[in-house]
Amino acid sequence: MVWVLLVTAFFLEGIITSLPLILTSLLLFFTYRRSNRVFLAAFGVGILIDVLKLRQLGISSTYYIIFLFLVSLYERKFEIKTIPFVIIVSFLGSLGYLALVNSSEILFRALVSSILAVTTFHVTANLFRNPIRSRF
Amino acid sequence: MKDNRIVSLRLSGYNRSVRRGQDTFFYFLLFLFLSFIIYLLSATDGLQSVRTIIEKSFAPLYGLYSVLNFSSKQSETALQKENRELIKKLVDQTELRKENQALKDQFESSLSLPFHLMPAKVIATSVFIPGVSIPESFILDKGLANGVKKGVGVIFKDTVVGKIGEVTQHLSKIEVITNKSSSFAVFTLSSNALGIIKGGGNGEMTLENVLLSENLSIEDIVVTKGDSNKGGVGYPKGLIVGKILSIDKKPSSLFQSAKVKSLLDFSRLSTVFIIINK
Repeated sequence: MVWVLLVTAFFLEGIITSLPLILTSLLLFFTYRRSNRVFLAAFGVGILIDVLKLRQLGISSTYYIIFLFLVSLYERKFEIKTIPFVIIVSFLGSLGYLALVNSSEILFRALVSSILAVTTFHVTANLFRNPIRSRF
Repeated sequence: MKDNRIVSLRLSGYNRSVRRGQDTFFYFLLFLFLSFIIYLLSATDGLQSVRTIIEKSFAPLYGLYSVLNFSSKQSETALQKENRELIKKLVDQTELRKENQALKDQFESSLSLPFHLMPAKVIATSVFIPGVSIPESFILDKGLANGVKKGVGVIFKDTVVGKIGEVTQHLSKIEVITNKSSSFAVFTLSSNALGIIKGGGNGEMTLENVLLSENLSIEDIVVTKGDSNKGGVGYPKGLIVGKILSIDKKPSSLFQSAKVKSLLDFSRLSTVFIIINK
C-alpha cells in the first residue's frame, strides 16, 4: 500500500502538480513501515523527480534523506503514528522543500500538503487495522 | 530466575534498538553521500547521459499529461480569436509607424533579429491545483538536440509565454512570465512608456519603474522592448505581453506601477513556439 502511495505521488508530482506529494508519502511510508528501505526509496524517487522537473540532480534526494533521518531520530524517543505528528512534520517538511525549490506561496501550499498528508494517514489507518510493521 | 529472564529480555531489546539505530545511521550516511556525489556530478554536467536515458525511459509518462490535464483544450471563442488578431494588427501598425518616423528623422531603428519559430508540445506542467491555478512552468518536448538554448523566448500567437529556464538534451523548461523570477523591459503601445514587467506568481504581473511623467492608460497594450542578443537569447522587440488592468500612481513616489494581465490562458496551452535564431 505504501509503495502504491509513493508511486502515485511520484506520477502526480512529476507530471501535474507542484505540491510535495512525494515528501508526504515518504513520511507516511516511514510512519507505517519504520524501515531503512525508506532511505533507498527517498534516494531513488528524489533522483527521478529531479530528472522529470529538470532540476539539478541530487537536490530532492538529499533533502528527503535528511528529513527522514530527523524523523527517525524523533521516532526513537516518541511515537510518530499520531495525527499531530503527521500534521506538524509534513507542514514543516513541505515548507522547507518548497523553499528549497523556489516555489511561490509556500505557506499556503505547505498547509495544503499537510492537510493531504493527514487525510491520507487517517484513511489508510482506518483501512488497515494493524499497519505497524517493525521489521528492520 | 524470572528476574534474570526479564533483565536478559530488556538487554536484548536494548541491543536491538542500538543496532537498529546504527543501521539507520549507516543507511542515512550511505545515501546522503551518494546524493551528494550525484549533486556534484550534476553541477559539472557529468551526468547528462544518465539524465538522457532516464528522460527517454519516462517519455511514455509524459503522454499521461494530456490525459490528466483538466484544461487541455487549447480552444478559444471566435470573439477571443478576433480580439487577439486585432491587437496583433494594432501592434504591427504602431511598430511600422514608429519605424517610418525613425527613418524619416534619419535615426537608426533597431530591427528585430531574424528568427524562426519551432513548435514544441507541452508535456508536463507544475501547477498548485490542476485545472484551477495558473501554471508556473512547463516542460516541453524539445531540447539541446533540437537547437533550444537557455534564455530564449517562447511565444504563442505573438504573445509572450516565457523563457527557457532549464534545458537538457531532449527536454526544456519554460519559466512563465508570471513567475516571480521573471523580469524584462517593456514599453506601452500608445504612450511609449518604458518600464519593467515583473512576475508576481499566480498569474499576476506588475509593470514597474515607469516614470511619473509618463502616461499610462487602462487597457493599453504592453509589448517587449527587445533584449535579445546575437545568440537569440532574450525577447525580440514588439511581442505582446498583456494589457494594463489598473494603475498605481502616487505623486510622492518616484515611479508609478500598473497591474498587467496576459492575453493568454496559460492553463490551456498545449503547443507553444520557441524562438530560434536563424
